[in-house]
Amino acid sequence: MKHLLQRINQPTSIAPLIVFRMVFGAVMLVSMVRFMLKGWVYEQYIKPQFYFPYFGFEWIRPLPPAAMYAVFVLMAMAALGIMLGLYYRWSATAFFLLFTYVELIDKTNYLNHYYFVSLISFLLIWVPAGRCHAGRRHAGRYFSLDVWREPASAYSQVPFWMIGMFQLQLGIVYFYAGLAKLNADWLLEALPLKIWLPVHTDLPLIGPLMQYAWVAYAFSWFGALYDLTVPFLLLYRQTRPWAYAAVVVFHITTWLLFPIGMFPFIMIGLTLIFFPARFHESLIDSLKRLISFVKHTLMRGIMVGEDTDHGDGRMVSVFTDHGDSNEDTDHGDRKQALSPVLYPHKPEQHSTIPGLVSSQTGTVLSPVLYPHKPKPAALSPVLCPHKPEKNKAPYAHFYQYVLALFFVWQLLFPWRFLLYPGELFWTEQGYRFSWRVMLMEKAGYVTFHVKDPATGGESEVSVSEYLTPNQEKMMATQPDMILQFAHFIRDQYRQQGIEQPIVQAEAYVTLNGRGSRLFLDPDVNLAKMEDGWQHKSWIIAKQPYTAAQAQ
Amino acid sequence: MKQKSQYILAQATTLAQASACAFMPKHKHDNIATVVVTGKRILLYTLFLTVLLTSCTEETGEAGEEFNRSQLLENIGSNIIVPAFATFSQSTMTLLEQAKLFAEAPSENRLTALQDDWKTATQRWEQIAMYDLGPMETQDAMTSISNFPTNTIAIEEAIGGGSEISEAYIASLGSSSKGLPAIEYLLFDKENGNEAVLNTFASDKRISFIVALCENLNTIAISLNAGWQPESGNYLATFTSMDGKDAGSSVVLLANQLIILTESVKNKKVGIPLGKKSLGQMLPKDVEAWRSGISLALIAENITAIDNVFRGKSGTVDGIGFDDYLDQVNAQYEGAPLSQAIAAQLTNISTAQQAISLPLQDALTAETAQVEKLYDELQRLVVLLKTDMMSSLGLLVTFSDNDGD
Repeated sequence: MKHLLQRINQPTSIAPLIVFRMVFGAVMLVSMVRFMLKGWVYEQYIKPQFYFPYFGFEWIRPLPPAAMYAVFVLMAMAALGIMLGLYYRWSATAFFLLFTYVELIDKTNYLNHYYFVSLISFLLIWVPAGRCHAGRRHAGRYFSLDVWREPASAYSQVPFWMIGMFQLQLGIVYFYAGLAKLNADWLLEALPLKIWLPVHTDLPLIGPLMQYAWVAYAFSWFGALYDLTVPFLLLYRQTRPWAYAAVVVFHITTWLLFPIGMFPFIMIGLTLIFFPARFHESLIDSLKRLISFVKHTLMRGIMVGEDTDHGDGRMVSVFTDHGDSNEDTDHGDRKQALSPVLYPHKPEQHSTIPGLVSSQTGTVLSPVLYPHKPKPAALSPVLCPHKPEKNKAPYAHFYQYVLALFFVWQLLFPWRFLLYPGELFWTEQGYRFSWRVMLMEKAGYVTFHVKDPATGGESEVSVSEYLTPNQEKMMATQPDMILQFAHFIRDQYRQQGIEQPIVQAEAYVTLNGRGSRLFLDPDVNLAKMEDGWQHKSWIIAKQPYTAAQAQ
Repeated sequence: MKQKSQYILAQATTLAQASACAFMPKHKHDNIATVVVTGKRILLYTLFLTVLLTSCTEETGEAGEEFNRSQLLENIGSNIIVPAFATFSQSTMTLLEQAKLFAEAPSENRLTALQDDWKTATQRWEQIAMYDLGPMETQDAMTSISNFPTNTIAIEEAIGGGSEISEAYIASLGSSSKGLPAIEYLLFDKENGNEAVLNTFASDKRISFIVALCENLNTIAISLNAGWQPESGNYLATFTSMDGKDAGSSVVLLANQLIILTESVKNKKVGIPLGKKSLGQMLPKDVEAWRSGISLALIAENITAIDNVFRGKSGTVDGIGFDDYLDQVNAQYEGAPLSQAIAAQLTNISTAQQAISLPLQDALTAETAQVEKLYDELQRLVVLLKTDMMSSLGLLVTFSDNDGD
C-alpha cells in the first residue's frame, strides 16, 4: 500500500499531460465546430418539441435557441482554452459543465464517446495541465499561455497519478468494451458485423473481402481481443509501438466502416498518454520547431531582408521562446544545450536536483528556474497531496477521495445489468454508461394507443408529430424512452380533458437481424408505470431463437 | 507483376530483419532516437502492408459477387421512376386539354371525359407519390399536387373573390385549395350527380378556375418530369450516383420513402377515416377521393408502386430491387428469407384491400372488419419494412454520429 502510494505520487514529467491537453482541446474544438456546421445544434437541441431527460435529471432542460448556440460557442472557446492552456482550469471546468449539461438534455443523443468526453474533461479539471513547462531538455520553454502570463506558476513535474488516472480511464474504456463483446452473438455468430460488413464491399482494397462470413468472425474476434489487451500492451515498452499501431489501425478501420464521428480520432490522440515522457517531450519539441519554422517563414515573408531574430511579437513567440530567454528558438536551443548546469543530460538527476523538486510533491517551483519572479508561488493543494502534516488542509485529500470514488464507481456501474432479469441487449436495462460500443443491430417500431376509459374511445398517436426521426428511431428500441414518451402522451391527453387516459405501446423490435417480435406487453397501461431503477416487468422476455431463425 | 511481387518480398525481408533488430531491447533505457526510429518503422510497415494488399487485390482481379447498390438504383431509377414521371406528366397534359375542351362548351359528355382523365391522372400520381426526393422535394411539389381533404370553403372563396383567375393565381393559393383533390371537388358531386356539377359550371369563373387548376398541375408535372429526365434536369444521374451508405444516399432515401408511403396509406388513408386519431370516431369525409369513390383503387396503386420498387419490377420484368438486396445479405425472418416475408405481406394487403367491396367511405361502417383487417395488414408491413428490412440493409441509418447499438 505504501509502495503504491509512493508509486502514484512519484514525480514524473508533465510532458504527457501537455500533449494530452492539447490533443483533447484540439479534437474537441474540431468536434464543436463540426457539430455546429452540421446543423446538429438545431436538429438535436432546438427543433425537438420533446426531450428524453435522464432519470433523476428531469430538471435539465434545453435553453432558448440563441443560448443553445452560445453554449456550443462557449464550449468551442473552452476547448481552445484547453488546447492553448489559456485560463486552463476555468476552461476545463467550463467545458466539463457545459458538455455534460448538453449531454444530459436528451438520451436520444447518448453516445459512449460523449460520456467519455465528459469523464475526461472532468479529470482534466484536477490536473495542472495548463501550468506546465516542457520539461527536462527544454526547461524554461513553456507550452501554455497561462505560464506565459504567469511564469512562476509553472511545473515541470507532477505526481504520477495525474498521468496514470488518464491511462486508467482509457484502460477502463477499452477493457470494458472488450468484456461487453464476450457474448454469444458477437463471438459465435459474428453478429452484428455479419450484417454491417457486407455493405462495404465497395471499399477499396479490403472491400471485396467484406462479403465473407469469416471476415466478420475475424473482425469480431480481433475486436474483442484488441479491446481486452490493448490497455495492457500499451503499458509495456516492448509491446507499446505494436499496440499503438493496432490502436491506429483499429480506429481508422471503425472510422471507415461506421458513422462513428470523432471517436476514432479522440482515441488515437489520447492513447498517446501511454507513451513515456521522453516521447512527449520530443513531440513538443517537434511542434515547437514547426511553429518556429512557420513563424520564421512568415517573418521572412513580411520583413524582407531583415534578420529573423528578435522583433517578433510576443504572442507569436509564446510557444517557442518564452521564459528566461527572449531570443529565438534556434538560438535558444543552442544556448540551452550549452548550459549543462541547469539542464543535466542525465535523466535521473533531473528529478533530484536539490531544492528544485520535492520528490514528495513532485513540484518544481524553483526561483532559480524562474528568474523573472523570484518569489515562489504558493503551492497548489492539488499538486501537493502529501505535503508535510502540519500543512494538511482539510480539503487536501478531498480531491483524491473524489477521484478514488470516481474510479470505483466507473468500475462498478457497468455491472449493474447483472441485477436485472432478462437479456441485456433486449431489455437495455443497464446498457448505457458501460462502454457497449457498436454491439448490436437493433431496430424497432412502436405505435402508441390511447384509450379514454370514460367513453371507450381509442386513438393512435402519430409519434412523428412530436419526435424527430432520430428520436423516434432511438426511442423505438429503448423501454425507458418509450415510457417517458407514454407519460408525455398521457399528459397531453389530460390537457385535452381526458382525465385517466390509458396509454399502451405496441412495439416491435428486431435484434441482430432476427425477425421482429413484440417487445413490450401491449396491454400494460404505461400511463400508470413509474420510471426508475427497478426492473421494468412489462418488457416481454426475449424467447430463445430456433437454429433456423438464428442464421 | 511478378517482378513487383519479388521486389516487395525482398523489401519485406529486409524490413522484417531491420525491425526485428529495432525492437530488440538493446538498452535498458530507450531513448528518443529509438522511439523515433520505431515510429518510422511502423510507418514503413503500414506502407508495406498497403502495397502488399494492393498487389494482392490486383492479382485476384475483379471483386467478388458483392451486391451493387448502383445497379439497384439504376434499375429503379431508369425503369420505374423516370417512366412513372413521364406518364404522370402525359396524363396531366391530357387532363388540361380535356379541361380546355370542357371550358369551350360544357356538356355532360365532356364532363365525363374530364372526370375519367382526372381519375387517370390521380392514379398515375399514386404511382409517383413515393418519390418525394430530388425534384419533388426541392420543388416542394408533393402537397401542391395532392393535399386531402381539400378545403372546399377556401376553394369557393378563391373562385368567388375579386381576383382574376389565372395559373399564377392558383400558384399563390394554399395547397389545400388546389391540385388533384380540388379538381375532384369541382368535378364530382356524390349526392346530386353530374347534372348538378354541370349547373355549377354556369359560372365562367368556375370554368376558368378549373382550367387554371389543371394548368397549374400540368406545369408542376412537366417540371418534375423534366427534373428527372436524362436530357434535362437529369436527377436520375444524381440519384444513381448517390450509391453510398450514409443517411443521404439514394438507397436510404428510397427505403425511407417506401416506409413513408406505407405509413401514409396506413395512417392517413385508412387510419384517420377509421377513427384511429379521433378516439374511434369515424371520419368518412377524410377518405381520399371519396367524391369520386376511387379511394381503394388509389390505395391499390400505392401498393403496386411499393411492390414494384421492392421487387425492382417494371412491367413484367423483375429487375434488381430491395428483395435482391435482402437476399444478397441473407436476411431472414422466422426461418425464411425476409424478402419472401415482405412479398407475402404485400400480397396480404392486396387481398385485404380486394376484400372490401364498397367504396372506402361506405365500407368504414358497413365493412368495418374488412377495413380493420386492411389496416392491420398495413401495420404488419410497416413493422417488416421499418425494423427488419432497415436493420438488414446494414446501412446504420443515422441522423448524427452513432456508436450506440
